[in-house]
Amino acid sequence: MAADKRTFAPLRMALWLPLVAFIGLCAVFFASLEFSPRAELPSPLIDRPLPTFSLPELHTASVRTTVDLPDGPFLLNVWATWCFPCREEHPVLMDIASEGFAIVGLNYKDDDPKAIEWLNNIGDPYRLNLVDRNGDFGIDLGVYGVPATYLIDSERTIRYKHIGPISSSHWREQLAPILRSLQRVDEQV
Amino acid sequence: MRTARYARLLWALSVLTLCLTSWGESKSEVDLSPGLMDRYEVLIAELRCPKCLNINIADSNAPIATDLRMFVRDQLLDGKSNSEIKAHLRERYGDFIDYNPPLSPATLVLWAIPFVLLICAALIFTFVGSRRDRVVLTDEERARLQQLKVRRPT
Repeated sequence: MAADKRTFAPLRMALWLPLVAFIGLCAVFFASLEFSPRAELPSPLIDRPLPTFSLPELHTASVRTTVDLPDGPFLLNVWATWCFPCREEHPVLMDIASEGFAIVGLNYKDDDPKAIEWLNNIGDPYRLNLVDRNGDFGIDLGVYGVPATYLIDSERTIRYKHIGPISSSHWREQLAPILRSLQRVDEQV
Repeated sequence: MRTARYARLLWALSVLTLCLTSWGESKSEVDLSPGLMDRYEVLIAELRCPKCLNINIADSNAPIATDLRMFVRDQLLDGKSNSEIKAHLRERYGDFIDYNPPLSPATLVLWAIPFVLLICAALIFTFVGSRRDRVVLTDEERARLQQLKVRRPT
């Protein structure tokens, strides 16, 4: 057609743009379907100080604050007897404790006698156990699922957060190396 | 016959009572003054439940959603502003918790897309529109056009 020859050539190319954009978007969406590790939310609390607290200790009910925390780096484990994955995680915590690492427990929205019974029956991996009866400190920590584990350094800064149970391979491959490197940094100071 | 009708009436009544009790419950979860109640409802509709991913804390039955609703209520009673309450929760749960995300480097693309598309559309429209004026007819075509106009007057 004679009229077609007079059409501005780059413009005809531009008509393909929507199709190209559409295919590009499809590719992006398919890629994020396949490869996105969407299980965990990024936490804004990483590299922020551990929120201050004043909470009762599980066995004695005496109030504990930040000064009662272990000196070196430690794990803060949020747990409850009503939480099924916590039972699955418990042997891993026992192993971590037997390797000499400090774990602080936060008994979350639980019942004191039940929690004490649980620890008496299957073992107590915690150096200190705090009680968060109505979940207020949980909100401060950005907890949305139990169990949750935080890695706190000796400066009381949150270095790592994990929602869900820790497996022994997760401990060996990710948490233990971070914890050991933090301990080494402390020794050099 | 009569018993059947009576039974149906009874059933209707019990359903109605059930509706009323559940309505009563949903209203009695918090007790705030009308002004605070309005702000409370706006906030819990705009905050996303961190546990259940695609529902706000107003509609979620997850325990964490209940806790967050109570947190919002307590903060309102403490006299905190809406933006203070949201900032407080964003610090702990991330921008994820806010269904109305702030403008930040991460969300810039999201905010810019509509404007970029609008500009693209305007550009395409201008070029395609002006192309029609640029069509030049040969003398032959002009004569034929004239002929067509004569043959079929408007």
